[in-house]
Amino acid sequence: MRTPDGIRPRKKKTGIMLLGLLLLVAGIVLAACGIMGKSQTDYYARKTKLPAGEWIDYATGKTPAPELGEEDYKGRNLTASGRSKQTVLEQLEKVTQFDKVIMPMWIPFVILGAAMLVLGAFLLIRNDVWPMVTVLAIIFYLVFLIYPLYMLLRQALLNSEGQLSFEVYEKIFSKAYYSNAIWHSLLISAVVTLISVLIATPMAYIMSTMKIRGAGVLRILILVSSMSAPFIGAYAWIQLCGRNGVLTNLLAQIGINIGDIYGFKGCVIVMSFQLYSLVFMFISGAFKSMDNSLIEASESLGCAGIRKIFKVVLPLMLPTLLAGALLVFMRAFADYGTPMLIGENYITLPVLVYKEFFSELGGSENLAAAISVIAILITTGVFLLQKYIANRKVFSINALHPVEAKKAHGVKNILAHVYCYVMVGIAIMPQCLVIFNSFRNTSGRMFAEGFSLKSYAEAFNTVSNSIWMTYLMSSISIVCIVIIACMIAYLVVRRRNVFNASVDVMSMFPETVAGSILGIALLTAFNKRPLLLSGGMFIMILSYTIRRLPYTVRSSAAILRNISPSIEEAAVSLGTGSAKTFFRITTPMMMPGVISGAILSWIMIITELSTSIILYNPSTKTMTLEIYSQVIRGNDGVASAISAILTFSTVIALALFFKLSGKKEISM
Amino acid sequence: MSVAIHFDHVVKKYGNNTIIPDLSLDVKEGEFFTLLGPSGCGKTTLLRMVAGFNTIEGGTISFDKQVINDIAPAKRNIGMVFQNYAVFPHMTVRQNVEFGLKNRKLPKDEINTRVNEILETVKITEYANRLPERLSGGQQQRVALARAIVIRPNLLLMDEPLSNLDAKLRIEMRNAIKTIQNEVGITTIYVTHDQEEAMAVSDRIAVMNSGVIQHVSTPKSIYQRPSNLFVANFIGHSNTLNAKADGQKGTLTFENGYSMPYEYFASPDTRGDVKVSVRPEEFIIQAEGNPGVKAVVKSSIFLGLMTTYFVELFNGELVEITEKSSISSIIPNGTAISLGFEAEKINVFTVDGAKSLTKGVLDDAHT
Repeated sequence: MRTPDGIRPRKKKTGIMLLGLLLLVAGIVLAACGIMGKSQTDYYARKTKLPAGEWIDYATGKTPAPELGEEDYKGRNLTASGRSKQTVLEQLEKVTQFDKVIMPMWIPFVILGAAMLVLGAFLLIRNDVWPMVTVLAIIFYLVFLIYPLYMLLRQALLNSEGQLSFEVYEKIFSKAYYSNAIWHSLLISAVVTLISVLIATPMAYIMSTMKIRGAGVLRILILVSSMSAPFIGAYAWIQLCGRNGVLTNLLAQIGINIGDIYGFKGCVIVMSFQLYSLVFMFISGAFKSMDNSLIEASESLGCAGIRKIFKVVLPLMLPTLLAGALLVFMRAFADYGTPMLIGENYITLPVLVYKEFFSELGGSENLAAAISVIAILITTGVFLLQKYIANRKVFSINALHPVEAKKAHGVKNILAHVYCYVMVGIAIMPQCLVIFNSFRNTSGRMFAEGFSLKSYAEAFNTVSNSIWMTYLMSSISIVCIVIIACMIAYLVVRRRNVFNASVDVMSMFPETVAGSILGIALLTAFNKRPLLLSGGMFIMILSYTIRRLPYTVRSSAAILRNISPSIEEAAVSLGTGSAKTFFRITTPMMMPGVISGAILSWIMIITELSTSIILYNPSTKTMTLEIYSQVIRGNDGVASAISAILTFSTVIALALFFKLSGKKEISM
Repeated sequence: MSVAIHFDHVVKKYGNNTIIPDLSLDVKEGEFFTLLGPSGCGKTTLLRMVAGFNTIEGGTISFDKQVINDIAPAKRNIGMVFQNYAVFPHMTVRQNVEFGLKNRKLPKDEINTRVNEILETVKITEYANRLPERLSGGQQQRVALARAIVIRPNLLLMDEPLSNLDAKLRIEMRNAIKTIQNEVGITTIYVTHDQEEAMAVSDRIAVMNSGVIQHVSTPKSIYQRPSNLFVANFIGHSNTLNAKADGQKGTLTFENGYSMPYEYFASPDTRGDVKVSVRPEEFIIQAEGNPGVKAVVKSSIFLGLMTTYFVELFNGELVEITEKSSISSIIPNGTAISLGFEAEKINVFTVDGAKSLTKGVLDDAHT
């Protein structure tokens, strides 16, 4: 009988554990205060151009605050010494009670904090290393997720005087400009989700039940198309069907006007053809775990053809279908690049948030925050609804005889092939077009006759820093993600309790928050002293880590559930402690699966735009941002070359994924 | 160095759910001791309490004189063999077996000698450098056994180690386990729900039900003189019949009036209604008209060595009888027969089945 104790060792010494926990948390707080005090001192010292010690004397009142006397004025202007006294006075105004205590005391604070931290950690780890991991995980999420979201909520509810106010909401819902954006986003997401399901479901069914020539290649192409940077599709479609597009011009010559692709239409086309691949992968996976005997049983009971699909196949796939549809909805809802490029006046929520947040002309951070909160409510609602429906319709199928692809004949066969080829063709078109363009000869910003590597040369010359930064930041993020995800997965699977359940929920929450909104939350929380983190690599890596953790935690947890706890118990009974067991036994067994999951996350990171565009500064510009700004500037050659580099990276990473995981396709 | 294990009023609870209410038990040094019971009876829970993977909510468990309640699992010096082998899949056979010794920071030479020795003992030397995925279930279980024994534990725990193996391999492995345990002489606690397996390997068996120990004794004694009706039914197969006992006269009288002499009552004061437990092989089939319990053969199965008859008694109850197959023909269905009993072998219990009234019950359980 498997007992729910897991490998938790013996009696818990609650008292000592609590003491350790208290010391650990207090230590972290004290040390953080000390470091903040130091950074405050440095900040004021820099402002007042005083040595740190002297400034502290002023701040604590040891040296009385300077007074501006007659001699500080020469004529009616301040003298140099008068100006510096003035600055000191200005800065003294800003000093808070907290500053006064902490600034002179930062060294003892840091030392005491560190000592308490070490002692607390020791007490916690003594029996078992995991309670401390729980504490650290909770602190991590409280500081870097809950606090930013709280700040965002605060900004969304308070007016500039700091009072509770719903004025912004009145503005949002009364002005069409704002309320339309919400409506547009919902409409686009819903339509894109529907079209994606309509394209992908038949395709997955065809490719799982019929032999299609080159099915392997098709699957890889679908994968690549789903992994591309979100707005490359928009960019390619504009090149093809935009006002000056290749296809538009070609058709105009023979007298056909295809109209324009901008606005709602464009967003839906671009997103549908990029995102249907997600639904396709989900449903293909479901066919893999479907038992063919069920389909055969249905046929033998007289329910065949279309009826069989609607009565037997679809109901069994519904949970998977919903999961795929949810992902598409979330992606479409959060997409910033596509509507920005091809939406033109058709403004969606992420675009509006960005514009309000950064606009120098009458934008309002309160408004941006309020819209963000509305967006979070919508996505969370959709997420919960999907969970609720899917949980009620889950079946477990024992797939002894998986569905096999059979050769079809005649018209059916031809139609099936045409359908698959055309759909995959359209989906992969943007990638092909971009790669093709990247090799075209250029003169200035325009494409010229013939082919050359000029675009690549220019890309490496002008934006090599972005290329380097993209790989650097994504790689650091992936390392963080893998480490944190393995530990959280362990807590969630092996040590179920209230605290770890809350870690689970917090780690999954970013999934329902659009990238740009998380970016704004982080920026709101960390753009002021003393918690100034924005504008550097740290906050970019942080945002990538938080955003990609849900996927990696979930896949790691799935792997861990397949590893029998008795393997860890065997190690413990042979004399290893809990930490060593994790690193020597559990981690090596999880690694192959976790690494292949991490590769997928890495691809997502290098192709991500919506968070980066909010958090970057010139030194942390990524490739997607670079493509975006080159596109805006009309520098198509360089944009194509960087896009192509991104696509090549994706393909290489995918090849690595297949090699490591030994799989032939990706199941979501 | 082997230890004796002493369970003193041990309690196991999950929240308000008591799994083991109050359990006391002694396991002798060097003994092969089996916890046997239906699934959910608490035997694995108890084993994991000894290993340190489950908490102990009350009472104490001690090795020799030392209470181990508060010692970390890693420090208890226990070897454990798991149902699913739990062989580390990313390590070779040798690395698996070395693992515990390396944790104990022994010198390299000694590790090598001990590993080679144990690989020899469990007969897997030739696979030393293979990864577990290239071993059969039986071989993996040998690795798990070697890994558990090589650290020279005070105590070896085995949690249904054979239940994942196929029938033939199971018999081969249980003989191997018994032989190896004899050789090494470690105190062993073995958990199983398979009574045949338990009888084959154990020095003594504790039969458990609902967290309570029903009977502790040698396999022979448990089979032949079970302490209560649950044990009689759980170990082997038993048919239960109603009867009236008279300890003074030394008779058992069945419902149809058939009365037989029975001189094995534990006390001459035994009187009144009792349950009689009769194993299939303890019936004597006689022709109709002989004194005995009247019955009719409903069907039969020929199993080679034995033939099993399904028989309906006069009162409609069904019983199972086995007889050594004879060369003459099988009794045809529908034949009326009269059943006698091998008086020395059958057991008599109180009406509620809680206590044996037969003499010769040996039970080491603390009451």
